[in-house]
Amino acid sequence: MQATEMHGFCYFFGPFYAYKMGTIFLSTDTAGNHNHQNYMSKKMMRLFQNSSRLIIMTLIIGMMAVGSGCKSKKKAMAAAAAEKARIEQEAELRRQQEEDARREAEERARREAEAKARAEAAAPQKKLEQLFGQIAGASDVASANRSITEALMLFASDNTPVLIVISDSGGIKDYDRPTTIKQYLEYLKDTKKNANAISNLQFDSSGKITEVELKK
Amino acid sequence: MINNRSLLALLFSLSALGSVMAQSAEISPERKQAIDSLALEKVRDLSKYISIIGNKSTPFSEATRVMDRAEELFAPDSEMGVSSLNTKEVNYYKVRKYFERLIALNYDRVSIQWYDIHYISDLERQPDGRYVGVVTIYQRFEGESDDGLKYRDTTKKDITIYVERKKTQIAGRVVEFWDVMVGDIRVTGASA
Repeated sequence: MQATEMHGFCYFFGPFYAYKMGTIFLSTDTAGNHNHQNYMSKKMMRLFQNSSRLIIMTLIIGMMAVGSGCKSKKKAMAAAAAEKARIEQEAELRRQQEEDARREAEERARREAEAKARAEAAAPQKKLEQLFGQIAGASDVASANRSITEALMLFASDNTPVLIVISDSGGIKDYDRPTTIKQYLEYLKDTKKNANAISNLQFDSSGKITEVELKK
Repeated sequence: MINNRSLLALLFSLSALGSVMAQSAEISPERKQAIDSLALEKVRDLSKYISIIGNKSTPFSEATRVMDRAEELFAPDSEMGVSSLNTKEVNYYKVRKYFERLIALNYDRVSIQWYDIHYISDLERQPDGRYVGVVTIYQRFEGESDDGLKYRDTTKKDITIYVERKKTQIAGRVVEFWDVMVGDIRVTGASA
């Protein structure tokens, strides 16, 4: 009677797996029954061996998967951390860019408001200078009078005082004889000469001019 | 030995010298130049007013208004000399009267132009504090009528100028200014 010996035993350690088939002893009995029994036993053994192999293979594959899963998990965690850091960095950069843009917009708005205030403050003077030029350069009395009427609307009164500085030296201002704005505008019409520059305007609460200082 | 007479003479000299120095140190050359320019400018303004008043195309209301402005340039009781080649005599009229006669001239077209306006005597400070000078001008007068009547002459005139420091109140504060006034305008020559 032949004995089929198969050696095998299993080792399981860490993420690495190995196995070795252990020895399985089978004994034979009398011929006939024994042959049938041997045949069945061999068949069962084969089946058992195959099952064992299958189980062992499954275990090995499972462990490898878990192992590689652990590895992947670590890699995935590292990648996730890197991704998170990258996202955070981008968010920070975006936040800083938005902050810079907001500051720049505020600065631009402030500059525009200042320029607008300066322009509004200078607007009456520019308008008056323009009208002075129109009156002095008018081609006829009628058009000069229309410009005079328009100019007088900027003033609190036709008798708004006009001071003309003829000299400003050594801290002393010398003036021509003071006149009124109506008379000064008519002077521009008569002499057709606009040689004096506006150096100062005073306003009342309603924005009307209450005093004019000119400079030769 | 210093006697009383010498001492008095010395004191008088010193006070006179001090007075002269005070007068000449009144205003700086820049300020004096500004006053000189201002006075000359007033004479030029007067010439434009006279030209407007005499122009027959000037509306009467405008001519009357300009007469008021021109009269304000003159010192009180100032007179304007008028000459004629026909009569060879010079007449003097009060300023307002001169302007009224100018408007009433019987021409259809009148042109009066002043030129070569300059100082013949610089503005100088007087003891009373005023500055007085003389400006000379040449006046070209041309009158024409539609019926062919024409008159042309050139007259040389000397204008006395007064400049005085005055004060006024503007918006509750005292403002000092230089008041330029035209005095008499005397004819010193005439030609065709």
